[in-house]
Amino acid sequence: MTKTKEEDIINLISNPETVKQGFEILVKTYSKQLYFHIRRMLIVHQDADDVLQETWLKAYTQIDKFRFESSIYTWLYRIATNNCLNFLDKKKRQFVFSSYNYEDGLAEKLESDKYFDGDALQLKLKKAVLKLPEKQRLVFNMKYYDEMKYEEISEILRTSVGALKASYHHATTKIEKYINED
Amino acid sequence: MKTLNDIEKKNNFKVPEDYFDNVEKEIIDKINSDQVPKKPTPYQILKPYLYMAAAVLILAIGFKGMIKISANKQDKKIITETNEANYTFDDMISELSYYDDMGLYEYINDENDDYWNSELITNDEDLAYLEDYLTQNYLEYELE
Repeated sequence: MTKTKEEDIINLISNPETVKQGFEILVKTYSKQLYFHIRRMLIVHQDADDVLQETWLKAYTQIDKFRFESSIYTWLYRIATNNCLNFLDKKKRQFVFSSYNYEDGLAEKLESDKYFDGDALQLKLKKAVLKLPEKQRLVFNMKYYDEMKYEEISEILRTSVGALKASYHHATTKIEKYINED
Repeated sequence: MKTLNDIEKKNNFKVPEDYFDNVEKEIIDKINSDQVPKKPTPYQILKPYLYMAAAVLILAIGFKGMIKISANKQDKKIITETNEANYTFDDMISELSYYDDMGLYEYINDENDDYWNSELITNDEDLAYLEDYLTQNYLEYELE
């Protein structure tokens, strides 16, 4: 999004009379990106759909909390990320007393998911990413797939650039080790 | 040894047909129809806590009341035990004023009650007085 467009949207959402109009532009501009960010974390389309809608509704109700020093894009990503983490936390709590591993379950679902279209190596990559701890998975996805700058990720996850670089390095090492295993 | 560079980077996730058009419309419709709850007012935020505080207060009052009733009963028992010899027919009659019809019936027929003691009715005059009292004050009462 160009700087002028973002400024226009900020002007619209800061005015109670035009907030809905501004929000409509936001929804149309960022839904796709946010959806895939969420989907990469949650894997299942239905879950991603629920969390995407929740993200937008939360963003709308909390619009007055938006600090104009950060970009709307990173603010929305932060809400979506927190919603993903909360969702995963809730799901995992359901299996806290069982030996079932939620991420392993997701990896299995991926194999038969009609909304997944990838070759064997791409499937193995997705499974390797699911083996990573949640935060490392977030860093990997944002850097590798969304091609975000470390500074942007730092703003979203509120983690230092140095820590993010280390996290990404560890993530790629683990992933490459996994995809080379039989 | 394979590296990440050997894997084609592409988005492998698909969505149902027209998903984005539909979901965007759905979200926008929700926002425009004011289905989305607005930011809660301070009262809405505090409401559950106010209810909790009220419940605690009611419980505290109830608990205090129960202690008081229990203490009164205890006091009455003590008075009965210590003043049993001084408890007279007049005292017994004055106790009647605390009861309604139903309560009176239970009071008189409660063998374990500390106050009602038919042995205190020692003469016809007392019995006649009691009968008058009950007839005047308790319409449905018939003395057995």
